[in-house]
Amino acid sequence: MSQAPRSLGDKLQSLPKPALYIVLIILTSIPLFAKVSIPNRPAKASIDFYNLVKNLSADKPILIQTDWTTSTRGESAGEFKSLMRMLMHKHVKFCIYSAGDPQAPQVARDYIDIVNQERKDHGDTPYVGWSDYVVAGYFPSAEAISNSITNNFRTAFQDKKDKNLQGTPTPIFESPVLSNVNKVSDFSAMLIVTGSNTSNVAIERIKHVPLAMMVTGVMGPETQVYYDSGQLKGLVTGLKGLYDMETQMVKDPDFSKEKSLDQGAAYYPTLHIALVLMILAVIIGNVGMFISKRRAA
Amino acid sequence: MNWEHYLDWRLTCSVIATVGLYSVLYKENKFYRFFEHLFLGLAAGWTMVTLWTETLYDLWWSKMMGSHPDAVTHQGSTLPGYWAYMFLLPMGLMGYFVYSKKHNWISRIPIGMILGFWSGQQVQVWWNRYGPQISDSMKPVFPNTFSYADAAGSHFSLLTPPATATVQPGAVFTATAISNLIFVLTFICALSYFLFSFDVKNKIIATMSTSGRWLLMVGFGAIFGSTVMMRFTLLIDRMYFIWIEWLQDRMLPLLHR
Repeated sequence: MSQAPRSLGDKLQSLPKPALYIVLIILTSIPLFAKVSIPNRPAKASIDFYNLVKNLSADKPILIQTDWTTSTRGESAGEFKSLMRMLMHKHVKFCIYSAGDPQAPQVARDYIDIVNQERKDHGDTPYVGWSDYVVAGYFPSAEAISNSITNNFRTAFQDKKDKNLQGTPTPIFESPVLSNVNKVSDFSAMLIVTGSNTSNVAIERIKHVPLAMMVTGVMGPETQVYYDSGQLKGLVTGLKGLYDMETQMVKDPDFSKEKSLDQGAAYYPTLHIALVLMILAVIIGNVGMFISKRRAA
Repeated sequence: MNWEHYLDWRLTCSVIATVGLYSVLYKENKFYRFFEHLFLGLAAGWTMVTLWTETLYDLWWSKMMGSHPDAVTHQGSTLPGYWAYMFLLPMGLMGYFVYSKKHNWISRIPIGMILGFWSGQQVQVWWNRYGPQISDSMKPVFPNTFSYADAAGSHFSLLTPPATATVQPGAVFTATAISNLIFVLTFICALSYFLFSFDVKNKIIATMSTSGRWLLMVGFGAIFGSTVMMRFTLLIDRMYFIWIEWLQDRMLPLLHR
């Protein structure tokens, strides 16, 4: 028995998936070779984050919780690099730890090295581990360490070690970064760069220090409410937030020497092309459904 | 093999792994399975080593054995070990009795302790998370400021102040009041949707409940849209890695050498 030929409506509703994937891959590849600048108006949350970091004093260190790995490299790596560029330019010392992923501290070290290499290429002094920043490593329970940071920072981090200038593992409180830190309020801010929902744990438990975050697009809508209610002093969300940071740095004469446009500027035009493709696919599917229903009627 | 060659090989392996993982889009295959297991194995191995080197060794083993990290700076002198730390290991291992049909009650002891710690924190945690949001939901819906004076003292009638303006505390411009009103109406409508305890016959509440459902759908749509954008960004990042970081920046220069 021969099969009845499929109508145009049916065909439009069931475009072959491999064809769609190939079109998507082609359309997300070609624009990467073209340097297109997209006009941008930074969101208020991104502006607040930028101003918070820009106005940090070099006299007090900051605490950074980094919970992202290469799985969210598309958004988090760019966010982290832009943050590092600003902090290193302002000579703000920082202490990094992770409460979300055991791989995160090493990923952070790798990206600090990348930004340090940029500084060397520009003729700037590179940031030195131990005297300019320390990495406190991984804590397996985000809830426990967040509580401990609020209650007694010194106790929470007292057993953590990092390599000193001679390469010997040494308690991090002997580092110049944390020499004057006894409690969490001794930091001028706590910034969280995360690819997961450890942001919620921090909001629930961290107190006595201004809190700001860089999150992925998935966590963006959920985290936005905390910014709106004033629980966060600034928020960078996904690729849009990253592009906001980069465009603000471009316009800021303070950062004229730094590399400003990077991952955000490279990916943002391509994202628009991908979104156009998705909208087209939705429209084609709906047109197909409309034709099929009309024919059936 | 010098450092540059090592980087070339490393990036090439990453490209092969990326292609392998994306090959599942065509169909389930052994190439994909291999790289999936490779990724899981590497992640699990890294996690185990990190848990020991960065957590258990410093926070548990060193303290129990008496080689406290501070000893490094005390000319090699060691501090006494806290023997009570040894009870943490059997307590943790008790959790694995969950796999035993006969003795799974043992696992409930550590799980019960964890639940106890967790529950004890919840009142404070809930309030820290939602308290400021409840407070912030009480927004003024009536405007009280209709003009803005600049630094020179000139007055301008405005719906909303300029972005650069320093606004007096408590000032509610007309645009802010409209925005707040939309927020409050959305808030009340969304709450009305969750009135399941009684049969809603009042027409106003029923309309608000239906509106609440639609508004919730709009919210879910925005969340889904943001999620889709993030997934696209991850794909774009992989494409950037293959075409720019690997092909353009690494392989093409090799061909020209």
